[in-house]
Amino acid sequence: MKGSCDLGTPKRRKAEPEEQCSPAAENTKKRKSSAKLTPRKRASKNSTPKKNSTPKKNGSAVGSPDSAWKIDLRLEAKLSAEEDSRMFAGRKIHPFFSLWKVEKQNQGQEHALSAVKREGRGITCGPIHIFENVQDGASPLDWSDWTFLDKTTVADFGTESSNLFVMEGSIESLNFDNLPSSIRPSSASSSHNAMSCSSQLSIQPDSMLEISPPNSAVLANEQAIWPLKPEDAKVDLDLEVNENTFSGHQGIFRKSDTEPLSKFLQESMRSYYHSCKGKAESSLWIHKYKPTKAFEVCGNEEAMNFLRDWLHLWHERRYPCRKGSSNRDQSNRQDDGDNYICSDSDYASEDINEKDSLQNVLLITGPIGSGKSAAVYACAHEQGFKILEINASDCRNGAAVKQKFGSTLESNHGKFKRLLDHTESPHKKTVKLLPSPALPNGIEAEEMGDGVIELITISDDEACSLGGTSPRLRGKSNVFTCGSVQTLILVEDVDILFPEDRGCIAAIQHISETAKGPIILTSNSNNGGLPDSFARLHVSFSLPLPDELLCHMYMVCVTEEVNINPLLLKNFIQSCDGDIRKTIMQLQFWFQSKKYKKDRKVQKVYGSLPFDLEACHQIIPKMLPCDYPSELSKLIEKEIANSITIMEDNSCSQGLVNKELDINERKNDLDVQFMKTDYLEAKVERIKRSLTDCSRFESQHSAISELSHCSGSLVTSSWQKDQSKHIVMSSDSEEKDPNNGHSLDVHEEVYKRHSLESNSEYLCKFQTNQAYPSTSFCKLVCSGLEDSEEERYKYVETAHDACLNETCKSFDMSCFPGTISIPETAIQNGIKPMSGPVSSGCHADPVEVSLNNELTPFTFSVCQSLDKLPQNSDSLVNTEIPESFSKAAVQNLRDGNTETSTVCNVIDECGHADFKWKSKFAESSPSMAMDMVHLWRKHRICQKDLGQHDNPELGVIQVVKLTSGLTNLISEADLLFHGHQQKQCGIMEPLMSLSDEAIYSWYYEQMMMSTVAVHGFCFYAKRISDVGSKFGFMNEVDLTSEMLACTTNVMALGNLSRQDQTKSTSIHAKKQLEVNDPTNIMKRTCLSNAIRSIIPARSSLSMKGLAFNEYISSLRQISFSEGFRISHGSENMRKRRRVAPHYLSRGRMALSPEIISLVCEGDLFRNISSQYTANMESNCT
Amino acid sequence: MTSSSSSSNAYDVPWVEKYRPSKVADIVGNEDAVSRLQVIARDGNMPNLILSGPPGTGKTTSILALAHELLGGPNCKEAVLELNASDDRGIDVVRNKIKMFAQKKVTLTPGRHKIVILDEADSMTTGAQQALRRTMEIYSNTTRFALACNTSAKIIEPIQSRCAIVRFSRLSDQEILGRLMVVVQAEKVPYVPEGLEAIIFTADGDMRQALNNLQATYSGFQFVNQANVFKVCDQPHPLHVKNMVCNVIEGNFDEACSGLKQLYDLGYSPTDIITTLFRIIKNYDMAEYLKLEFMKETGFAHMRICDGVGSYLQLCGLLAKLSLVRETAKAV
Repeated sequence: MKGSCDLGTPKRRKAEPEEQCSPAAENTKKRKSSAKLTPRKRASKNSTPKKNSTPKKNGSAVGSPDSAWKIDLRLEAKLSAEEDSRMFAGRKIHPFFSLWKVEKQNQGQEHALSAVKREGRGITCGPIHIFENVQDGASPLDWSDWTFLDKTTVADFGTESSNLFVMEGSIESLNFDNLPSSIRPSSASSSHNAMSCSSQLSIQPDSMLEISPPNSAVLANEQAIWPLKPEDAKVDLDLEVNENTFSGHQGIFRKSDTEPLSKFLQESMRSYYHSCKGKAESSLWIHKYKPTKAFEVCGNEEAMNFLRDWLHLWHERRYPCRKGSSNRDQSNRQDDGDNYICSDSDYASEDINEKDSLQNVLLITGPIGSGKSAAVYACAHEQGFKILEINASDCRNGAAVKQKFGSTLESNHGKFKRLLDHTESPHKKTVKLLPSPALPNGIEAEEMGDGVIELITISDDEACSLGGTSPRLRGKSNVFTCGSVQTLILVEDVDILFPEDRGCIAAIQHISETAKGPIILTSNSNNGGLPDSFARLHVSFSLPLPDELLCHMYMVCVTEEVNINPLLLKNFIQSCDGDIRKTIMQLQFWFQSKKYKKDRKVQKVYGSLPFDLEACHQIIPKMLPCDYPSELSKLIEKEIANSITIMEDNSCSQGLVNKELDINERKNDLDVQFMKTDYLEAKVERIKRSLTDCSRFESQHSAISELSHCSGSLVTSSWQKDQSKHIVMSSDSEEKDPNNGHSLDVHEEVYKRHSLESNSEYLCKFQTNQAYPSTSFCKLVCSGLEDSEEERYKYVETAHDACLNETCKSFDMSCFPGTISIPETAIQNGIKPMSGPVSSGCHADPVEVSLNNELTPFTFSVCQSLDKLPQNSDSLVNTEIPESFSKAAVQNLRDGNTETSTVCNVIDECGHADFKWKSKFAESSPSMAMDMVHLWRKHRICQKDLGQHDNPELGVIQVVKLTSGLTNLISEADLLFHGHQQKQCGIMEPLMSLSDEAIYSWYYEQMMMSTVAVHGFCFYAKRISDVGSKFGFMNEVDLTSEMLACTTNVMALGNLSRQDQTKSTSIHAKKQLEVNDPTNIMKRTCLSNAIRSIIPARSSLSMKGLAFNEYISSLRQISFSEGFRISHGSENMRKRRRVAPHYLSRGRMALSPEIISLVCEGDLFRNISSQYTANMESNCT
Repeated sequence: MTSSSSSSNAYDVPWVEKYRPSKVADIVGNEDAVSRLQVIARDGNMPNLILSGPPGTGKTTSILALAHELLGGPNCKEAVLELNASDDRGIDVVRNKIKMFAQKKVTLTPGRHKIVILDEADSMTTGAQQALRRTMEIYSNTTRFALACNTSAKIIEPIQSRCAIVRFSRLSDQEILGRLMVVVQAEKVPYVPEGLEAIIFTADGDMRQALNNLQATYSGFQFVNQANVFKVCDQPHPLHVKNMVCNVIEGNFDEACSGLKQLYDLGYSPTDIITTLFRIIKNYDMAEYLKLEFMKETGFAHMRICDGVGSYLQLCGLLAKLSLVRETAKAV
């Protein structure tokens, strides 16, 4: 009774919607027709009338469950009515009416959506309610089940619509120009798929169109692929431009490949490839292109020569014995033959020695697919040996091996041996016969003649075996009548022996002692599992070089009329790890029957392929817009030019120096600048002789320090400063007067200055005594790196505190070592310097000199503030305001508020300008009051200029953050994959067969990881393109094609091979040119020079915040990594890519003198950037 | 549930076998590989193949359809040797059965070869695979091999070197839906669109599972809607898991934990819970950055569960980490 009730209820529900279906169907038809006619932009307007119509359906929908419920109650009372309704409902289940149900349900969805919007909290209660239903199976809960169904539908529909909205948003954020062209083909393709799926019914496509878009929204891969599709349109434009490049490139490739070959080998190889065409069409390419001669083997020339010579020795060993016994052959011999016989008789004793010393066992080892077996067959075929092979598919028991090879020991009974050979190896007969059709017609005819002759004396079976021999064996037909053909025993894979094959090695060892023919063993491992007492020769094979294999494969493709791009072929070889056999097999699968291929436009879809981290590493440099102009360096140059123009007013003789400085700035070339500075030093010495004014020397000192500051090389700057101080210190009497004057005011400050001056005096004395070369000075700088790092580390700590008082304390602590050196200098004032203390002092002083350079501005600023009290309050306020705003600026930058951050950056620049102004003000004498006024005014002008250039910096900072997130994502994805691979290795070792559930979960884990990686990668790619577009740099990288080009997965290569030849060729050609283009390298060097020029100026901004430090270090690392990638990109092996560095956390720097100078300043940023990375990681966890 | 077959069905055949395509052109999904198999089916000269991929993606169907097209006709039974997981596949089988089949002479049209189908090849012993490596080369003129496996890493490298590896990937939801509609029309199954959507959600790229779930739902309830599908499939209910995620995002950590407790007490394994959780997160409407972090944490948790640490404590720890991620995202 309950069963019948349950069956009846849903049928009743079905019956009622059918009655109401007819008016609704008419409305839906009208809407569909209107939707098709109008373009997509108007579709949004059509959605609003649908909403208007919902209240009408709301009433009807609300009523239907109530009416259904009542009818159910009545049906329970009357059994006979149920039977009638059941029969009626069963008949009406017709495909036409089922379509109406679909339409009705779609309308129900829209209605339910509006209902849920009014009651937002209903969704949260639904699942809990359902959960209770699952536990209880009582009949009164059927009504609540029905209610749950509606809410479930509503929730899913809501998520679908929101996903659609997200997709639209993502589309708009990408290239706007391509939107109209990209949306239509994608919708067309989806509709086409719908049409193809439901071709049986004509009405079906309409409903499919409505159903498939919501389902596509659910796909994660679709979300990943969708942002990439708009860029496909650009690929066509780029490819057309590069077609010309491709044609030239292909010609170059062919010429370069064929030239190295010698003429003889070239002709023979051509005949080889040409002869292969004659072979059967239905054979595998591996068998078709199997080498039949030694020189046809790809790679391993030394091993091939050894093997061939060894077999040749074995061949000659038996040949003269046979020849000596026969007399008929002498009449056929030419002069060479006569000489051979004479030599044989003369050196009979030597032959005996050779027989004794020649080893009959050869072990060939090498990796899989390196051509071991093919080489053995080629050499044996060339020398005329017959091969008896035993491999892993044979029973290799000790007794079986002896039984099989026992016949070879009886060399006298030839006929019996021949019969055994035929029975034991029927399959090799077919292998032998195949090469005969490949021979030219002339030689083949001769063979037939010989065969006919042999019929006189030999039976039919033996004649067939003779037919398979090569023409070089013709002379041996007479020898064959004597009773034996030389045999070669080949034992394949001796390192793979099963318990069933016990005794195989002992049997082989026994045979080798008694046999009179060569024995070859092959294995993959080096030792082959053989005992040490087994006397044998050893030859090792290796995989062929990529260039050799590329040439070989290209010839195979040309012979098969496959038009493939060499770069794509190179990728195939790389994906197969240089395995000859595997590469040919893959090429056959993807390229055979290329002639009959239909012309299709294959859609570039990367979503179906598993995510490849190696390709991701390669693409990151392309995604980043690295060509931001460094406008700050230009501003710094302007400031220096302004300060130099002020100095022109002082004297005419200084005008010459200023002009030279201008020339140096304009060229901005380090090498030329260094020569100019040498010339400048000579000029300075001349000026020294003519002029004695103290203030002028100080002005030159400040100018030179700025110049060296701009150039950024620490060695040059320290050298110049030492020279200038030497000049300054030459007039001690004049300088002591102002010191004495100051001593009355501040006693402590005078004490510090005195200690600094005493150190410099000590260094000057050292310089006057000895003239050391620059290289030794560089070594001093290197040795002092550790000490400077410690001092800089303290400096970093003070930077974090950002407090003025603590800064002063740290200065006192850092100056403390200087006080120790005072007694040494006092002692040595009256005594000649000794070698020991001089060398130790030499190490210590440059460090302090660099420290003095760092600390001098702060010390002078403190002195100046103490000297002039009325200006003191203003300067303190100026220093405090930037410090407080720097923190606010960092927070605002993180929030992404553009306007506020712009204002804060302006304030930061003001603080920076004030800071510079203080240092210059302190260095100059008080008599230059008028010049200070000019400097101050011009720096104000610079402030305005700085404000205009804030935007690029902001964009750079955002890009850096996105890059950091992207590289962190790659690191974590690599960690996930690594864990996955490690588990995979663990599974293989115990050789256990996993259950289906374990395999399923294993693969599902891999799927999960790739989904995370794909989602994150597309997320960051979209963000980076947004930032680039905001600041005027359009990112024109086509991610889909780049991912396909960089991936070494075989399926991706297959996908590329199916595309048009020109398109795939141009992609690789573009990639090739980008690596080899010299102008690109020049751009990188300019970029690195520009960054290098920024770093010293920015070192004073380390107190401002982490953002600037991260910006500088990241720019430097990116330029280096890109330069490294460009120079070594073509040489990277597959395994090395997995060790690809994290672009921000680890920088790979090639050691050069220029970079060593950067290390002194770079250490500061390394510590801060590492801390910043640690903070981000902690945030992620 | 007791499954009662429909009266309209004359046969009691599973739909997975009934609607298995017999031609390569009818195979759903993996168009790159299937198009190449079509060319081989037309022109012959099939290379040795390894079809690798997850279950339910059409590997066995492709091999059988290819063999049917190449060797369809009177010689089909003599020219095809099929060995699957239910057969004994030790070293003796390779040395005797396969070798005898390879040595047997069968008259075939030019370009056609005998085919040895080794289904579930990753369950072969290593010794059997070693014994097979030379046989594949010696008899390559008359016999070709086609292997199907879930993980190509379980095939020894010498065998991989002698074959062309073709990787099958999971089917997309659109492809599964297209095929389900064909079966639904043929079997006249009453359904609602969200019912099919539920089947596609539970199958997650597995065509075999989708068809089996469809048949089971129809046999058990005679109507395919969402509630019936989730009763048949016995997976954590996606709305329940979605409610958990919603509580985490809204900051109701206690309610999220209670929801997890309910799922755990129902007897679902941690793998089932984490799998459904990942699917829900993948399709949930939240900020992109937040979704990325959630997927990342779920991936790490799944890795720990596969290592054997799958207790209730670990799952609660995952929810806690998700909450921390949400707090961090709000702070930024």
